[in-house]
Amino acid sequence: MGKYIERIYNGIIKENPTFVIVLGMCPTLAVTTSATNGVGMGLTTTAVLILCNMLIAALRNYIPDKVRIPGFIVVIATFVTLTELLLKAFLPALNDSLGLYIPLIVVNCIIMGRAEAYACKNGVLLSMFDGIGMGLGFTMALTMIGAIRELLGTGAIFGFTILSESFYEPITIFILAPGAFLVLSMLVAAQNKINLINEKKAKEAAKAAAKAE
Amino acid sequence: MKKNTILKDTIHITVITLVAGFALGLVNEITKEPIAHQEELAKQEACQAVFAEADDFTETIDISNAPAILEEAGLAGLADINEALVAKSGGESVGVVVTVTDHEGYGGDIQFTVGISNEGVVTGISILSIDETAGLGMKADTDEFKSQFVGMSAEQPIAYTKTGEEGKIDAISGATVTTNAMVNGANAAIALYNSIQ
Repeated sequence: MGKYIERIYNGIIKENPTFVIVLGMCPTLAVTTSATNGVGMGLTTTAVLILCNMLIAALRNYIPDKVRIPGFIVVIATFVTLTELLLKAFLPALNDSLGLYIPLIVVNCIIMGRAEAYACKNGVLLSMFDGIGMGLGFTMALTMIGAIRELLGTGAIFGFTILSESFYEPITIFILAPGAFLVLSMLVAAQNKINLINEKKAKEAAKAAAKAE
Repeated sequence: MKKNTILKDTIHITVITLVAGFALGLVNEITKEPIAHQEELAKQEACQAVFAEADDFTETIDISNAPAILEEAGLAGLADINEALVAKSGGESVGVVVTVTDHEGYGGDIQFTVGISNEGVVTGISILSIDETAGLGMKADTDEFKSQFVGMSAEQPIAYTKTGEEGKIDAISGATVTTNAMVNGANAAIALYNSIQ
């Protein structure tokens, strides 16, 4: 069980797709004007990522090595399009809230990246957990960026006013494009700091263990 | 040990593509009707939202002269009229519902429907697609903004104000571009309404 949980931890913290591997920057920068958008895009990507990872892992021995990238693209694009059609036809309520993000996912490099880096070399179940971890990491990152931008830019989070306009003048730049870069860079810096501290701790622990011997 | 795998690779990738193609074709065939049905429902709902009194929106109005009408209203190139429907209540015409697209939005096109009663009063607007800046232009899609259009006279074009003048639409603060786009879109619908009266 340990390695499955490790996959989830890996996706959320150690190899967070947004803050560490820096994948999927287009949706990250463009969509995160509000926390709600961040959650929507994140969860839609998670669902697609889990299923695509499983699909690619299941087909990994059939897809020829030399032409695997075109193979992945065909499989992923087909799958996303099928999902979009089915959602539109049978689950219009879900489509109203998430349908907007689906076309943005077709070419999302997180999905290609995980297919290439992980799913094509590992089993179905492990790939599924990799998808869950990466998806949650992406959702968390997007929600954080969205929430910070929304709070600073409009004084609200998830549409609920927190900083009342009577004393807070919204800093509009945060919901415009430059705000995305500002917030993202600060969060990446924070994440790097955390990873550095963790590394230092691990080193010291190893040193202490060596001394004890 | 180096084997030439080009034939095998080609066959595999061809099979994958074929299966994908067939799956797409099949699902498209299955979902075609439900999707058309859902779109029809969504349209009905949008019409209902702007014209609560009416219950039937199936009769279309000929809008082939729309370019000339827009030209005359000074809106050529700024807004387009997509569709116009007769709003009926119990079989009697009570007004029109016009779908317009305005191209002046800050984030591109804004498409919305406008309901106008036969008494020459705007009964409501409902936004179909909008991509404005969150927190600024997106406020156009709040009831607070949209309800301002209800009860506006369609005798003359609607105007907007930044200083709170009576009888005009209050501009969204920080989003005059969006306000202008919404007002011009509504005016395109009004121009069409006046041409068919």
